[in-house]
Amino acid sequence: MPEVRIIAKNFMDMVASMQAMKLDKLYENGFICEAILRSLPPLAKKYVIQMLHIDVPVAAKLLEEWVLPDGVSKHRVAIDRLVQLRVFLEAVDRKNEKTYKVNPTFQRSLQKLLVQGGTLPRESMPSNITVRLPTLENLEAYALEQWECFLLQLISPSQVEKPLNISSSLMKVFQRRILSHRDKEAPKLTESGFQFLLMDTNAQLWYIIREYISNSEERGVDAAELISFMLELSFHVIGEAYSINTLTDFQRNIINDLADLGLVKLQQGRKGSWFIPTKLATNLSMSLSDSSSRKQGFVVVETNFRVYAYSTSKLHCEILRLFSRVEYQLPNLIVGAITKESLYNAFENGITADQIVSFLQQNAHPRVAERVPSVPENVTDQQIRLWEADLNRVEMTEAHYYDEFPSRDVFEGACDCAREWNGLLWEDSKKMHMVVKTEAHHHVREFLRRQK
Amino acid sequence: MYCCDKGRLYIMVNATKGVFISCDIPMAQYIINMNASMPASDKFIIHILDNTHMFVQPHVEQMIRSQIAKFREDNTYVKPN
Repeated sequence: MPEVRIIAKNFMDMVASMQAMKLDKLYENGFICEAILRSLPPLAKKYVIQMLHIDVPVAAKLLEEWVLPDGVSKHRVAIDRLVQLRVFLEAVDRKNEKTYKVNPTFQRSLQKLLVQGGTLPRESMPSNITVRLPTLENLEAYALEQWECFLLQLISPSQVEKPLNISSSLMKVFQRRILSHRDKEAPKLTESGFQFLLMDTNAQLWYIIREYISNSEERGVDAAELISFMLELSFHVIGEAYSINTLTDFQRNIINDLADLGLVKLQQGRKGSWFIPTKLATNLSMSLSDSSSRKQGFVVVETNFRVYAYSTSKLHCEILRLFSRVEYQLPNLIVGAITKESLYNAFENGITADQIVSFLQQNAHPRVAERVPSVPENVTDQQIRLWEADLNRVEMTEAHYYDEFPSRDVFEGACDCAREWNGLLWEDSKKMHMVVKTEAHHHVREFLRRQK
Repeated sequence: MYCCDKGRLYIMVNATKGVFISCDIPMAQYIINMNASMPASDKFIIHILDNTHMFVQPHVEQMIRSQIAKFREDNTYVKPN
């Protein structure tokens, strides 16, 4: 199966890949420095704090002395990360030895943060103005609902009852790799699209935000400012109301887009309007591995291949339809079965057995999640994987068949040449025949031409 | 096989373009049988290398895959609804 994967990397990797000048400008914002600090590996955090008030470059050798011998690999990882993010600047001193110094902009911002404390550019509004503030549970439910509505609109716009306000051009940006737009047909999910649907919410959020930021340059919006505002947003408190008047026009546009995705909730009162950050917004500065926000699973798979999903969400129904035959929907339950046809359909669309199995395992209902294995192995190993293997019984590679070698030396030489280019598929030393991949054929032919 | 060109000696090794097939033994037998049942002008196997590998004409991949898919479906029992 082709290895097409959507890699959802987090903010920090995106920040690290920015140009040096832009990164330095980002570091003028204290919150970004704090977010970066939080995302560093523990040893790197220690180094930054230790070097924070040192103005002169410090020899790399001195830093190495801070670690015990068995911590050398962790030390390397920490230093590499710090240099990659331009938090540490590398230089060479007069004795030609490597030195490190904290990035001056970063240093100033972080020092200011430590001394003066971090205050958000806005305070939450007093409670006499903010009426009808949602409870935290309501807010979380709202965020989840918005996100699911957005996903549903992303993949099958016809099924949505209340379409969101996202501009169609922005939707097209998100759909770029997920849907294939053909002229006369309805848009279909691509392989990446299927894999996207089976990822967990955090990974999906990263993908969308990443597309949003990379598209910003095309729309004439400065990516650094956008990232800066989003990181600032992630430091706000969930559930607190912040006045819209404290936002610039630029920020107001972004808040409107983010409201459609479920990252903030907009509300209007008699005396003003405000926005409330949800859990999705504060997740922006977290790394992918911190999935402490594990949503509750809802799928039970039984040994008779029946699937029971305790959910009312249309999105879940669509996802289950990807690889199972949905039979009926009750008020709180979706019932279906995993059949050969439904699986073959999934395989044809580029979904692998592993993706299906890990989706079922990650979303297992709490009642069965404790059981080992959470999805019966007669379903996973003995059927889903077997059916996938059945489709791949024959492997075909375009190749060239070589025979009539004049001597054993030439034959062995040609074999070695093919092996070097990873193209030797088969050889018979007795008959002096070999089969080489077409990609390597050119190199073997060149090798033979050079023989005399 | 040697050939002369402007006084220089070139080595002429024979290279045939085609498709290398790797599969399990039953599938190999099925493909060989498929080949045998075709009319002489349509036979596609160039070399049978061993009991799990063979070398065939180019452009027959799709035909072989669809025949195998049909064979798989013929051997599948679907409960009547």
